[in-house]
Amino acid sequence: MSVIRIPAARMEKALGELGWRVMAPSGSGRRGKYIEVGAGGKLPLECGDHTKPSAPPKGIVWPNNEVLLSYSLGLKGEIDVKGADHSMGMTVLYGTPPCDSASFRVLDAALLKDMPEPGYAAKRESFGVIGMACSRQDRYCLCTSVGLSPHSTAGADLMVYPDGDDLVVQKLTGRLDKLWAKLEHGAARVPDDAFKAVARKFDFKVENFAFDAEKLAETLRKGFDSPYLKEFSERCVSCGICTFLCPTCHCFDIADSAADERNGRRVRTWDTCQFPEFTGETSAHNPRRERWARQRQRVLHKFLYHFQNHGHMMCTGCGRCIRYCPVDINIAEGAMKLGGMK
Amino acid sequence: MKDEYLPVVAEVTDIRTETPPGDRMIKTLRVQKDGKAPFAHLPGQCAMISAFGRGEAMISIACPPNDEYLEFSILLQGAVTTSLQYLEKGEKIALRGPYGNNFPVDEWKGKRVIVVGGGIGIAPLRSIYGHVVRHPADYAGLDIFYGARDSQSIIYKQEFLDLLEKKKAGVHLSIDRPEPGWNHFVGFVAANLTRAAPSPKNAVAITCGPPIHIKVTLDILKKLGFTEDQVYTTLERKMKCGFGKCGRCNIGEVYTCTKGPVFSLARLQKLLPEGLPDK
Amino acid sequence: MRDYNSESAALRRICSDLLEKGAVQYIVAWTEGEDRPRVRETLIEKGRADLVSRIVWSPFCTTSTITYLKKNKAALAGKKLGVVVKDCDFQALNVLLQEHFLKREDLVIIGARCDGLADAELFPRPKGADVPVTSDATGVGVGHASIRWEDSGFTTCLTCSYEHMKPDHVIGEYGRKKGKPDWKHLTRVLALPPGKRREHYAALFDACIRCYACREVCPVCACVECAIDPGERAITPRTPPGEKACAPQWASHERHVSENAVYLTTRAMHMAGRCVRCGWCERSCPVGIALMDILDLSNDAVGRIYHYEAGKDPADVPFLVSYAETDPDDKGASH
Repeated sequence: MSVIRIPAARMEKALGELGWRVMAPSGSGRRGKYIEVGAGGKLPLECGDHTKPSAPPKGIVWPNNEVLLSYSLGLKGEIDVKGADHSMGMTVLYGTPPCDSASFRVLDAALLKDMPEPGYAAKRESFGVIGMACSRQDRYCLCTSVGLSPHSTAGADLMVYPDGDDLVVQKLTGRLDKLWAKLEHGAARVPDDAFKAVARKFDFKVENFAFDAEKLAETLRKGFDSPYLKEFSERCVSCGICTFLCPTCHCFDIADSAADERNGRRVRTWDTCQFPEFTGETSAHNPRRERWARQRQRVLHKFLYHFQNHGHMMCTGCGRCIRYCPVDINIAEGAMKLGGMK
Repeated sequence: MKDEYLPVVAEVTDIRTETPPGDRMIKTLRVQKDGKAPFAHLPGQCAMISAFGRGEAMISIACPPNDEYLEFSILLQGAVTTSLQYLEKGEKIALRGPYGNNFPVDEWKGKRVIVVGGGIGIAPLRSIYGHVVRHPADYAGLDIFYGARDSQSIIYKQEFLDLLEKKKAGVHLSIDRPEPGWNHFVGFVAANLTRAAPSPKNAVAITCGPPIHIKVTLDILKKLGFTEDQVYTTLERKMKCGFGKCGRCNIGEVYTCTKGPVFSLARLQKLLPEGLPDK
Repeated sequence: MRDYNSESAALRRICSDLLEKGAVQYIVAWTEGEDRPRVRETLIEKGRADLVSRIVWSPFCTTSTITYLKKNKAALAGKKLGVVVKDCDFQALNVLLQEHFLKREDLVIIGARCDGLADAELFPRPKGADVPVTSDATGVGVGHASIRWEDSGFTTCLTCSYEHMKPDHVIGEYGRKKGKPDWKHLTRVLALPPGKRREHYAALFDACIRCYACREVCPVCACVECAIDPGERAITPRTPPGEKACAPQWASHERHVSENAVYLTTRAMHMAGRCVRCGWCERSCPVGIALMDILDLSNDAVGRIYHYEAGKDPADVPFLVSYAETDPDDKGASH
């Protein structure tokens, strides 16, 4: 295992020298945002609920609006189509808690397998994640219920553990080797037992909605027709808050945006299984016409389907959907009741 | 890496208006690129066709695999299909594909193939029976059950009459109500199927049509003794990306655009019962 | 000092009584959820003493029971319903009654006199039962923690001026004087020179992620098919293809400042004379857009120029379909 100890300022210096775009959480809640940390800018020294913007970091590689192609129709019916350039300059996301870092493991599995989604694939090539161990939970976190923890490294290329004026940095993948080379140079190696002691400081219990998601997944299939579904979906207003703020939700719409009768572009935008027309066909047939059918899709996708297809939980326990739902719908409560665990 | 979103631009080289103008108009478009099929396909697969400014629609490829052309039978439904039906011979069309899984026509070699189509559901089935007609030595026989509400709504009519005349297939047409000059069965496709009672011995049955048609047909085939492995259907869901990423066409953990739309009844029974015809 | 625990007890008695006597088939009320002091709208029928015992009224009843009625209209059609409302919900209900979206004879209205709302996240989760929830003219308290109304997170409550609630049953007594819309936030924005004002609004429009929460939570945004961007299409298998093909699309799905602007400003226009300034849209916006800066352009004009108050009385003629010869022309109408 490659773990080193560096003074915190060394990270800023190294990133500055590399000239990469560095995105970091600034503030928390509805006014919080991921901002570009410019040259000489300060990196966050710790992370937790106080550095959790309402919008998740997925937007960096999975924007709400991505042009897929532009088209131009000639007067005699000629069609000219141009693809879009989906590339992005080298970008690093710094200082996200494990619930947000792990979202990239989920997005990679969902969007890169078999026929990779072109926009995400292009941006992912030049995107790395420097995750940080979390120091503060809020009343909505549930990372330990979904197979993660405040110091889980899933999705991160490097993991940072704040320790006084130092950072203990762990290398997990080769993606950010250029940065690692700079950090490693002359830095002290941290032996295993010392590393364990540092990681243990972030081993606090996350007590909200405690359950074992993998055990729950086994019972969720049986809850497919649960009468409880209607009860908790009654107050759902079918907005997109839960899914748009979810770090792992990635359902999308493809729509044409015409500039005039002959020219326009085709765009990919965030969509949500909660909108009534998500599965609404032009024939008027809609297999998920009712809100309970749509909520069922959300809960089961999050806690069962993705797990069946990829072997890890789609929910990373960030708690945003519970916190920001305007009508107090709680996906953890829903999943537990459907799975007969409550 | 291939940009999966970029369609290929081809040409509409033939248009056949299958049913009279009106709210249920069906047109069959033949699409070629420089005189050849824009891409190869297997029976049951679909393509995402563009109507720029309006959107795309996933439409079954309605012809058997061949090098020369693709064909699509388009039912008028909304913005995209209206746009596609306005196309004229010689005009350009953009499409991407092929998407989805296919009917295992190779596994079915040596068997008797029975297709049961209701309404526009006959279009994807044409990719199978068209294939069987082209390779008669590979199969033990072909029966086509197809019905529409009236004789004007029957598509591929001349082709069916040709097949009947040349004794290349058992063709069992039906319309819902009696009409002067109609010499075939009167009643629903399901009733026609019950009347004909085809044997499940060494046979495979494939059905496609509106949800109620599929439900009733599956029930009848079961009664006739067809096992779950002998019955296939092709399902429809709203689709946008077509390659298993946009998250909307799934039934449980299965995306119908990649692991479907073709399903054997055996596979269908294992799926979670979301919006499925026989549940 | 208001004691919301005892007001809640009075409310439970009224609700229980209505259900037991069969005066209503269902009650729509706020009940305590898992995340106290947050509440959730709940449909309660006779025999559900477990749900009745969780009915609550407090400054944390920040959602709208009228939104629940709007979303469940088909399921509740023709049923006799009791609905617990606070002042702005009552106003919103009046708007829907004016438009014949709901029928007064189907409803028994239980009014809870409201002094203002507070954000549950500003308080630690209460532990144990019977934690006092109180308020007075200066602020709101949960147990030992208290917050001034100005800091409670709900700016529209501070300028609530509605004084016409006439429910069938009522609980609570007002502990604060009603205010007046002061439009301070609007005056500040409108005082900006045109270029700066455009920047201010462009930033609001640009931030929008088109989750449509503002529209969906709004108690009066009740159109079956939204004109701007249909969340739900009013089509059946018999809808002619031509009708589907020619449905206008005013704002494309592109998440771009221009399309977002069409959505946000058109909604504000459609809300003219209907918006009751409950502020729920602004509170629910996940990215913190100051939506009242947009809606109040409409609300201010409706009040200042036409002297119309949304939802004042169910017998009022809806604003956008009323006309008086004394209505002013453009002169003096714009800023």
